Amino acid sequence: MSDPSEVRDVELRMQLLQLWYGKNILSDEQWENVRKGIVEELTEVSELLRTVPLKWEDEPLPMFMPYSSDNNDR
Amino acid sequence: MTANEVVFAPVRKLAEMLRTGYVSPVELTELFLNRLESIGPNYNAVVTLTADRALKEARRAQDEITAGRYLGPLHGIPYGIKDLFATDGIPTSWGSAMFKNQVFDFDSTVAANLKRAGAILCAKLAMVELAGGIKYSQANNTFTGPGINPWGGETWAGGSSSGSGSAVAAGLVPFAIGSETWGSIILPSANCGLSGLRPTYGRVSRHGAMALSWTLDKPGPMCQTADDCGLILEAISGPDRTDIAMTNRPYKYEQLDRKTFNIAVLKDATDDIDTEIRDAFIVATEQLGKMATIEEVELPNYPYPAVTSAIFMSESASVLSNLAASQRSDELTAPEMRHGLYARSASLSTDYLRAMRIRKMIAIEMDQLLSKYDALVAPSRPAFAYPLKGDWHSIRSKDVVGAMGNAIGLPAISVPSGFSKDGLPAGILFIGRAYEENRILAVASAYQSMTGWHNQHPNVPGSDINSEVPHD
Repeated sequence: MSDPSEVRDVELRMQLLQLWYGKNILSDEQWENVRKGIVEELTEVSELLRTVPLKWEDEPLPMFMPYSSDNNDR
Repeated sequence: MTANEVVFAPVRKLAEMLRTGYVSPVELTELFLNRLESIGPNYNAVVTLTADRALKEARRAQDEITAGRYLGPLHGIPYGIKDLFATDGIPTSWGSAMFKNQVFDFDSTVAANLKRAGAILCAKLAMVELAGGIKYSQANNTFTGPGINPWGGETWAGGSSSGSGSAVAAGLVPFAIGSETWGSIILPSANCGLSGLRPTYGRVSRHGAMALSWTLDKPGPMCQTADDCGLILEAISGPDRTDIAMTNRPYKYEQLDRKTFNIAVLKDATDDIDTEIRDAFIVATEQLGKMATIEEVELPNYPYPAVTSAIFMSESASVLSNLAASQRSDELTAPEMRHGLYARSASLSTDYLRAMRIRKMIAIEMDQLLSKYDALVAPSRPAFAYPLKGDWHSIRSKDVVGAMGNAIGLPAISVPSGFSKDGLPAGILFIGRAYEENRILAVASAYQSMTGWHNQHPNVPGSDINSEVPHD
């Protein structure tokens, strides 16, 4: 990974995890594996998702659906 | 009829034997309980043998059938269920030592529906720890030991429904229930030479099943034939108000009286796959050409694995957040799962929602494409069963077809389509339009009646295969 924005993205996510869970929860080697996991699983996914152009009106699937125990037909 | 013919017989055939009194539910249940107990350990297939419940249900089924109260084709049929489904009073481990003493006081809807249909629960079957929700790259991924493939002792049964795959393949149960978030029915079905159906999302209730990824999780049957998958699906589907994702569309299995079909084949289906899988797929499409009009199609251009991965990682990060916070990750079986648990916590909500928006675009375009065909076909897997030993990281390949189908909840069935020179099964996948299970079941059944690959079974050591089944 050479793109500076991707490198920064990975570092920010690593910092977030270590602040959130505490750095001592894993060994240095395990944190390195977390870093690889982020690179492989998350950062690359983010990049690929951004290659699909989305219009303002494109909604997610599924949408939120109000709930009623009396009538929830779909 | 020998025991060998019975233990590998399709449910439809066993049902006829039970209905006509050729064999009784108790005899059949005892036969399969014995096999689960004596042969199951060869494959690490069984977590809990449910003999007490099984024999009680079998005696009741016997009384009912004798009294003329026959409930239908599953009445008196033994089965096993992935240990991800709650069963009243029986431990449900989710494949993890952390939960091995977990006991629910209710049946999952799938188990309850099967009980209502008269099926007999004989075993809770092994699975990859937490349904493989945390990334793993080797076979030692659950506290019950690696899932061993009956077709080759040095290969993996597949996962996460590993015990469901090996148990049906080895004739330890006539059918099993698995579940798929992304590949967990199709992969073990292909590896173990079975017919495995991933139903449309929302067709089968998830109530009482371990949640992994709410918008991807789908229970489904793993059987000897496509026809059996239809029988089981009818029993386990149906509205359930305890699962908000359930469709209210009724499902009735019908064997469609069709002689010809319209089939789409993916243009790049054989790119970057094992050469023997490719050869088997080419032969399979030639055979399909005798009963179908075949057109080559391309998938719409989307990053399918990224979409499914973003959804899966985000939803599972939320599901697993308590486990991550509990600091018990060192209790997970596979070391790589320990860091995988934390990595996904860095998923971005914007990525999740972007994937959900792309998901809708894919769903609309795929529905248009599939509306012209009975099925889209592709190899079930790009490779044969992985070796039991070693790290798979370098041999894994992108599952584009599985990513697409799971992202938008399409039904698919894998059936055997040949063997490698080492005797490992290859599978062919029939993918259908949402809620059109009967069409892909019809195509798969027609293919099976023409090819007979599903009639081949592994050599199962320790099996007393030539003894006669006692009957009146």
